[in-house]
Amino acid sequence: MSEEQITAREKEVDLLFGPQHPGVSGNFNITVTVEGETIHKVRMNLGFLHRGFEKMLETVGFLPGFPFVCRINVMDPDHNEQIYAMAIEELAGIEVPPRAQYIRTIVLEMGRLQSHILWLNGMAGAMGFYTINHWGMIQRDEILDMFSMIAGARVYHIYILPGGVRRDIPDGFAERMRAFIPDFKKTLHDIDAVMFNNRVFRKRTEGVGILSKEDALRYGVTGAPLRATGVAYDVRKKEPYAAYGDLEFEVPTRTGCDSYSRAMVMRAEMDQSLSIIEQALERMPEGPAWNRTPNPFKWNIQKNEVYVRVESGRGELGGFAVSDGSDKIRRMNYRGPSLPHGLVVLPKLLVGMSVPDIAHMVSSLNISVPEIDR
Amino acid sequence: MKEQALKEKLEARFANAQAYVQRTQRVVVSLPQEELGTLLMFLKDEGYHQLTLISCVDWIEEGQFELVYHVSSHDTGIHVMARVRIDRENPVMLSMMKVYENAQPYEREIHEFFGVDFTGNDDLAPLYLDDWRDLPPMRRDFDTAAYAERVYDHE
Repeated sequence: MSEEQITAREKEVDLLFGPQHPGVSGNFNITVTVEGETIHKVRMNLGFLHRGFEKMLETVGFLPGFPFVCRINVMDPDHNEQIYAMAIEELAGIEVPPRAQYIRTIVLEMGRLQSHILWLNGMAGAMGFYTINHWGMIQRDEILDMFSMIAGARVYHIYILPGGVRRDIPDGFAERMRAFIPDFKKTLHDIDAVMFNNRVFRKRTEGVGILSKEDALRYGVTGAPLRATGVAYDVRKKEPYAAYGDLEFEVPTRTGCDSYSRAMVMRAEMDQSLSIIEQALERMPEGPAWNRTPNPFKWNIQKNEVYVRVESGRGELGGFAVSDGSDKIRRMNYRGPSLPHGLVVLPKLLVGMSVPDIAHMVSSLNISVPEIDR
Repeated sequence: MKEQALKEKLEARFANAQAYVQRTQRVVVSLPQEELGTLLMFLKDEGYHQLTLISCVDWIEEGQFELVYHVSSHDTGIHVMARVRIDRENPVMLSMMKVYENAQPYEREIHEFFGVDFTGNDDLAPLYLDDWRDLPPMRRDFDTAAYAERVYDHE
């Protein structure tokens, strides 16, 4: 058969990327139609991590929902707890004491930091900088140990509850955190030298995966991918929750719109997180860490619908909660930033790129698959 | 107050809409389903660029599904919840993809979990569930425990 007789479709091959891939966090599968190395078409296949959490939340009471919600996003569990607690607080009119707001801020920033380290590992792994993974993991492990000190668990903490936090921070935590911050800054400095300023990293990321400001706004993109297009949108500034309104921090932005800009925004956010934790430790007021709430089995929550939002490590995380006057939540719908990033932006960005860029793009947009599947 | 101004603007423009200010940065508006497209286009022109989420709530007692369209503005920070009610027996809604492109995956998800049909959405293929033949599982009358008993053999 001569070359002319082969149709365009016959030159294409369908490749299955995933559901298991070392460069991607979580299980999902992409059917990529390629010609040679070039990607022509992308179809996302999800559901490998669908656990039906939103349905389960409707069958358990308000408080027993906490062990479910933290598992919605494996990489960044604390923000899901914060959303659920904020939703119940707004539905039931529960107040949070000031000390608890500061503790929550510290916990949420620790959550963002460890989530950013996982992003760093994915990004480094996709390009072969495996040393970064070890350096990052050592620091993340220290954060998880500090979580264990506060909450008694490393990954899923079930620590933020309606009306405050489960218990006050223990003695010795502040000192350990103050010792960790300079140590982590030193690691970040080393990572700057090896990865962010490395010519290989810049060549692989600069001008790659361009997501324009107009497209980002059109597709509902939030978080670092939006801030890398010059839009300084951050829920912590727009609608301050916890103690963010009392603390000074910057919202880093870039205007390059490419993978490199997104990476540099994430890099700058880690410095901001460390600064926020330092300030919160410094200014934390005395007082109770939890406002005693009535027996949760006898809660009488009026019929209402609320939307609450926080800035997670990936962007705007939201929760739409509906109560109907019974002892169970009527509907709890999570809005994960990964859904528009993964289902709308990724398939558009990948067209025209080559196969080795897939893992890189998934990391660059910081897509969390469990957060999409729920 | 900017929330109050938006509420008045919406009520002046849409005679059938009922709006109220829930709290700072939250405006809730209920309206008939035919007018939703015009409302969202109006809001988009006002700077509400971000479609944050589309939620569905099953009000089985009232025989209705409630669809809540969440849109927000980066300038004012206001988050608007536009609510429409549709018939539960014959749940059909016009797709909002023409107004907000990222409505596509949210409508696809609601189609799969609640069985709402979105006319104009080109891809409503199942996203999460594999070979699902039962009631859409997020409906209130779908009982997960009974389903597990029925489908999985415990012997």
